[in-house]
Amino acid sequence: MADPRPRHVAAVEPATSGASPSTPATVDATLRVSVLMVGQRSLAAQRRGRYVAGSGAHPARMAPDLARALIADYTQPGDWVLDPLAGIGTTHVEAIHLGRHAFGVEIEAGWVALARANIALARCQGGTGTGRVITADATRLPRGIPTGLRGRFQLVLTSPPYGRTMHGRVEHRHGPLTRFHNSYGSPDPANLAHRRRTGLIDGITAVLAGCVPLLAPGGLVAVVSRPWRRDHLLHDLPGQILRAAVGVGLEFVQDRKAIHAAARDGRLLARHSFYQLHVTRQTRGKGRPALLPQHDYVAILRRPPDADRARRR
Amino acid sequence: MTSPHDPIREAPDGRTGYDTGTGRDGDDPLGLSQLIASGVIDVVPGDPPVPITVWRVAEPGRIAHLLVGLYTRVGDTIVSLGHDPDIAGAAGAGGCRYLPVDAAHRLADLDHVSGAVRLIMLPWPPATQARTGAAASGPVVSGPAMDAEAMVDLFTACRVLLAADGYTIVAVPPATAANVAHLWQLVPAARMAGLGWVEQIVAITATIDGDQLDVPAAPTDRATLRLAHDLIVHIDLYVFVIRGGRHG
Repeated sequence: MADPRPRHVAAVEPATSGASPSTPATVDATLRVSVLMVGQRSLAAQRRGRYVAGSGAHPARMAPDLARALIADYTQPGDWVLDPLAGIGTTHVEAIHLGRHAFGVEIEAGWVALARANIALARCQGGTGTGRVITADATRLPRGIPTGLRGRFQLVLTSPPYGRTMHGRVEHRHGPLTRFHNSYGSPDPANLAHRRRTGLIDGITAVLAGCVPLLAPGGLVAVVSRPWRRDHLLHDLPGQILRAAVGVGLEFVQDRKAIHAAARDGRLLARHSFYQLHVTRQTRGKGRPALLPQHDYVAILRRPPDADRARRR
Repeated sequence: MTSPHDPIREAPDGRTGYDTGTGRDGDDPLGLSQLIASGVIDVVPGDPPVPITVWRVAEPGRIAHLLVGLYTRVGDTIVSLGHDPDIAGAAGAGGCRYLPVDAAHRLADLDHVSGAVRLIMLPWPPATQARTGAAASGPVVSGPAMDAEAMVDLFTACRVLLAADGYTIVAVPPATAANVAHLWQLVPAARMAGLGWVEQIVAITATIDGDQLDVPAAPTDRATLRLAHDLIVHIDLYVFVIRGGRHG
């Protein structure tokens, strides 16, 4: 299958044996351009026709073009991708359209049903990959993953919940501001979305630790996140995730930023929700020079090739 | 269009300022309208216009121009850990006083401006002795890295210098495997020193050409593989304020 590489990717061909003496020693074939421009299309355009009705009810969906760009950057057709916090299956849909195979874990049965419907739609639309989602608690990984898939994933791609205050949408509906689509379903404390900050980090740490043995040696982890804002101050969720990932034995590869603004005529056109703009304006009105968020953090990590040996020792 | 090197004039109170018809005066303390008029910042239009967290900074000196324009007013004092010529130029053009220090421990020598500094620029990761990490104008050679306790001391020195509505802005290049720990130590160290993180800006150093990021096409010849450095097209700017201060 053709694998059109977006222009933001300046791929570095993997070095093979017998490297030329002129090959710079510092090149890591995994490295990519540090910025991903993923807002060239609106989120509505990215999702239109590719996701079943009801998918919009999920409080924190990954942008499809971001998932697509990361899968294209770090896998080849036929590779396996794992999303341990699968939600409505954005990773699956984009992987299937790119000819990859996706496996997902999701704790809420309602989202699992939607993910399966989205997978079926992607297959109907000609996607050559495959997708499967199970209802399970990702903090208990690798439990639940078929033995035959363990050690075969080339990429773990996921976006943990950003904290309760950042979920959902707020719009004017018949008058005052109304918040909706901000619930993950049952208030199961095992669901990371319902945990407070410390519990959330503990949960993410457990998920990442469970992913390590599922990765192929040298396989990559891409975690999309953003800071958590409370009382005007940001809390460093991306930094805490990075620390947790390195703590469970993953190697840091690269710090990237996903830009949701669109490049237009040499400038940047903001993509934003009504609520984001409203809150930022309010903050500026109080004399604070707040800026409208237009980016996500993408941490790229790698399972060391000898992770199994180190674990046995 | 105004650039950091445009002519400067004497402000009414004797301080220097922009020589433009829309100077950074009391009606526009943050200088945003001037930045919008000169096309150097992207905003969501409206009342008021709202700037975004992603900046185009391919032009030399653009980061300094934006930082001074957004975070200072005429007559403010700007401190920089390490001399940064771009900040110096933007400070001069913006009518600000510029005080560079060559090492973290020299911040204590600035006690004559304690509590009065509007903007402090720090490279990251900091070194124990000389300047290191990334300045606003770009990465510089690293020295011995600072430990976590020294980072807290550095931010504490910044807090002492800052005005109640001042900012400490840290320029952080994308982390490498060698210095990634500094990335997750940054915010906790600032918090322990009484600073709160209020904003992060992604400054894109590649040109945006039409509707695309202008990144050279990938070479296919192994002999011309590009260095990892060439793949870095952004720098992060972390904005801190005093917790419990006017903006925290």
